[in-house]
Amino acid sequence: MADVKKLAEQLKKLNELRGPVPVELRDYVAAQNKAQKAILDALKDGPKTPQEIAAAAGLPHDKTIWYIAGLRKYGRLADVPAKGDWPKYELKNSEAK
Amino acid sequence: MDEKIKEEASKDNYRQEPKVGVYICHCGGNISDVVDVKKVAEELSKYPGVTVAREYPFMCSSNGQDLITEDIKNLGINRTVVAACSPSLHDLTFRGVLQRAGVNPYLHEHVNIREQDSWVHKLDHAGATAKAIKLAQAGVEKVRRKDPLNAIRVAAEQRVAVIGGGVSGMRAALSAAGKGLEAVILEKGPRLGGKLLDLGRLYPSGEEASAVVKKLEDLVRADKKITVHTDADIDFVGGFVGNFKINFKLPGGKSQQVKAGAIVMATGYEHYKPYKGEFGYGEAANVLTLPEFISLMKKLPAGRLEYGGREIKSLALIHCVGSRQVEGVHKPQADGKINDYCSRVCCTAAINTANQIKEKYPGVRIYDVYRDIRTYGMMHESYYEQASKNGVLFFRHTETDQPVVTSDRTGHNVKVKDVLTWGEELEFKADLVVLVTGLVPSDISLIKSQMKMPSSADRFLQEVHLKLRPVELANAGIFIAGAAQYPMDSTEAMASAGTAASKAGILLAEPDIPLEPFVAVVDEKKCTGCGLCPAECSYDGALTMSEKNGKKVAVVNPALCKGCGACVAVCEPRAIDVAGWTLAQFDAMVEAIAKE
Amino acid sequence: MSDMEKIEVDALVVGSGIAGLQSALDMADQGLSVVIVEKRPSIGGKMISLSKVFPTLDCASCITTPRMASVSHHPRITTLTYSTVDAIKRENGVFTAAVTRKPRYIDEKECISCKRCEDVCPVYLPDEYEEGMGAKKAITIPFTNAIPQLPVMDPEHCIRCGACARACPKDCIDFLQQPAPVEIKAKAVILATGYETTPMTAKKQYGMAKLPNVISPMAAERLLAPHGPYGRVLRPSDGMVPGSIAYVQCAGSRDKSIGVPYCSRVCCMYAIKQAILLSGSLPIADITIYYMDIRAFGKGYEQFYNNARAMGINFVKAKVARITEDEKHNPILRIERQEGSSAPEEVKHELVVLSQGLRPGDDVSRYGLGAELNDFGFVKLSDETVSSAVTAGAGVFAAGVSKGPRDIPDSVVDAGSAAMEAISYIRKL
Repeated sequence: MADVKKLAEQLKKLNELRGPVPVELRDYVAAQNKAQKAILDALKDGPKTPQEIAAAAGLPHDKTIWYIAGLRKYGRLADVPAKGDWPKYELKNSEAK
Repeated sequence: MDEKIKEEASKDNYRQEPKVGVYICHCGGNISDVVDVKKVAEELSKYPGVTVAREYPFMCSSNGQDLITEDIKNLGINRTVVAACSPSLHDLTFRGVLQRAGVNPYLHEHVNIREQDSWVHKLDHAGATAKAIKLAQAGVEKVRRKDPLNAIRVAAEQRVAVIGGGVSGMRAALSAAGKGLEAVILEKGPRLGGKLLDLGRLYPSGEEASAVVKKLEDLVRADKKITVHTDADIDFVGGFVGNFKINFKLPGGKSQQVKAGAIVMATGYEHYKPYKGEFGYGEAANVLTLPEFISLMKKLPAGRLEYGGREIKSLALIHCVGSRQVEGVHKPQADGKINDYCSRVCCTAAINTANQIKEKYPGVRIYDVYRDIRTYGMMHESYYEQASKNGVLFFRHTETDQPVVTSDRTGHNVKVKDVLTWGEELEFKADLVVLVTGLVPSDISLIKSQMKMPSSADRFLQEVHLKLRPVELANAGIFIAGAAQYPMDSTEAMASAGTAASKAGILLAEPDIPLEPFVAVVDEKKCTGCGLCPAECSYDGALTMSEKNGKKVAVVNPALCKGCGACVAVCEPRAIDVAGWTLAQFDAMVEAIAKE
Repeated sequence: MSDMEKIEVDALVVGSGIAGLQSALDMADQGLSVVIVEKRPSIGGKMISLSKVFPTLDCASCITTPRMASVSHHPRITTLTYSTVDAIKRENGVFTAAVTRKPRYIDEKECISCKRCEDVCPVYLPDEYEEGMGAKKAITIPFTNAIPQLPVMDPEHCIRCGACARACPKDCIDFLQQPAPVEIKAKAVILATGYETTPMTAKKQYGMAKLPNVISPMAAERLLAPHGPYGRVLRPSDGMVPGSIAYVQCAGSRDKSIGVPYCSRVCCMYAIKQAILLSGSLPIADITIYYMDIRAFGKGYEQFYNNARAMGINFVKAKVARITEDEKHNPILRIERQEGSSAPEEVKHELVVLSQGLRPGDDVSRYGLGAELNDFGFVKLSDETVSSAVTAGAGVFAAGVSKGPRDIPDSVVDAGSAAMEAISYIRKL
């Protein structure tokens, strides 16, 4: 495990070298967290298509599918077998709890 | 060779109780989309003798290989089964893993659950999974009965025999010599240079073909490591990797032999010969093939294009003659098959020639009749553009609407259903019709049959794998250079020939060559000396009867035996087995598969 | 400073795509010592990110990963990934290359590739390996088959939360890591610098990369790959399964106006291949290829093309004049047919792939090696009628697409001859 002291020192030095974390980046991550939460919340009542997820989460379609891809890759939601023009996604068990 | 199996005596851990590791590959979905790989691994982990069973997206990747290495180290795995693609792709890869981890590489069994399972049972997931389990279980039974083997080593002649003295053959010899190997070129014609001797100015350099030949020939003649035999009439090719023998006759009937560790087939191509009446060829006057026309143009002075005693003022080039043939439209070749392949070089050659005609005889009208213009090379597109600027008129037809040539005394009438003018049937007069003929392989049937070399559907020599082993024949130690493999231009032949020499160089990198130990082994105690087996053997000298300790027994020469197993089939007392593929192993595999 | 890393070998290979890997293996298998320098974090080049490859439809990984593994296990090959070649000098027949190892911000020797740093990192970023369609983290192992399996931190997008460092069981995160210079001495250099695709914005009338459902062929490869961004074929604007897909051929080739007058040689075949794969995964989809000439000139290619037609893929001889989209981001193609009727018409599809061409992957003139370039920036050979690898620079050889577009079979065949020229040159030194 990391040496907490060393880590704190490194991060402090980093802030000195590079200045504080840019506001744009902080905003980007905040928006990301909000969107991901909205998507995961939208799936609490069962599987949905990207279209349905976008509507429920109030997100643009292209952003929605990008977040879905990311959440899927990192094991937070999963494919549901579906036929037709739209795929469906559901929460992974660990998220549903 | 991706993984060289070196014959270092591995640790004799095979004496220990077999501990089998089973690895199921997803092949990135190729297998796992159909086969339930988790279930296969789970079932196999319960199978007797199996210590561990795992599944992984790509067993052949570095991480996949590391899984096996770790299991060997941590769990004492001493035999492995990998259920994945065809063994022809990756058997060697995994043998290499065992080798590096200090386990005898022949204690591995590669089970094919892709070509023989997931790809052919796409719609039956449950069935494919059950089959994968059975196949993997059979693999476990086989590997448990395997004995550690060592590669057979044969001393190799440090010499490369290059059959064919065209530009490919010369390049292959030069590259082999550059690496320090001796090279012998055997050319059937009187001169080096092959087909290029007949050609005119070559694209892309614009040089005369004869000048290109001369450059290479000068290098060849100056290289002390290269011996050239022209007018060499090969009448026998035999032997095996490391020890090939080629007999040939020189003018006057003198016979000679070359011994070589590797052979490079640089046997080139022939121009397609149109049948009598194909667009009037051989019947009407003034119908020539492109190579015939190029030879003609080389001889004629500038200013006035003349053929058959008359001035040629208009000329039609008809592409794809003998290439891209269509079932039901084109007449089959002598072997009953059509030439459905594209001959690659003819579009550029035709357009290059059209530009040369315009340069030498500016007044000649040129009509170019084609299906697709395939000027794919770096500068080739500019020749196409130049031809348009030069006023060459292009007509494009579909595969089913072939152009029609009718001829009378006044010349030829060419009819084309031209898609460039939306399918209108156009007709024009031409004083000369030039057929842009494709390429077919040279007649090397004697060598091919003596060495049992494989051909592709297009009759050219068949490489093992277009991407993995693109210049190797299935015959170990025989490589392909240039257009013997497929039509290519002279610059492309340089690459192909250099690589053929490289593979020969790798093969001969050490004074002896390891051969697969999968050869017949005779149990002299069981052998009754009946003498049935040598009659079944197709490989001269591989299996003979001999006296040993006062008893007549079958004796195998492991360097010549190919492990085909024909002898095994006739041996009633079961005294012969092929190492690595024994009857006992097969019995156990069948048992495992048939078991309920 | 005397602790600079120094490597002395027979041959330096710049680039680790299929041509670089193969030429390195061909040299090393004949006894030479080789170092490969790759600018990306993994070896494997463009080929490792492809789905399946024509005309045999083998999965690209099945062909590439074993070669990557062979290279990484080879006792005579050293690989430097995530490293740039800054300069190469030749003095007294010896090349000295100044190389910089870029910081991954981890201890490469200690890392055990456990991926915990990536799992806990809270920043999701567009994954360039997935052509932006999928996500990666601000610290990420580039892809499943990457070699080496080492994460790379993106310092520009790190929020310095320290989660990765706390999760790392080997304490190998190093936020302050600096670039490290490496000096390589070699007797010969093989340039295997590959290609980049022509830009999506090359033709102004094709939407200037602003239409979400007009994608690059590399993106299409990722959609078709088994571990692609969505795990299946979906269109990026909204995640719908596309029912109608079109290919626009020569979208970055055979066009003087964009500076690429040459044919890129691979686009006809990759479009046909992708069409075949698409019709496999989307059996009811309509697939159309708009083309000028189909150039299926390699071994088995014409038969591959014929198979595609037999499968029902539409080949339409037409020029695509313009691409726009409707309100649902369905691309609309204005086409001028070259057979049948001549009147321009508008056709709607749900996903369009622009068949981009190939241009040089690197401007190798910056090394000043004496290797000349042609008008388009590809390495020129000194006499291609005599050798397929010798350049005007002494001891400098070229392999694969660095010399001009060629497909995988042609690149693999090419690589061995470059290796052979280097071996021959070194023997004569």
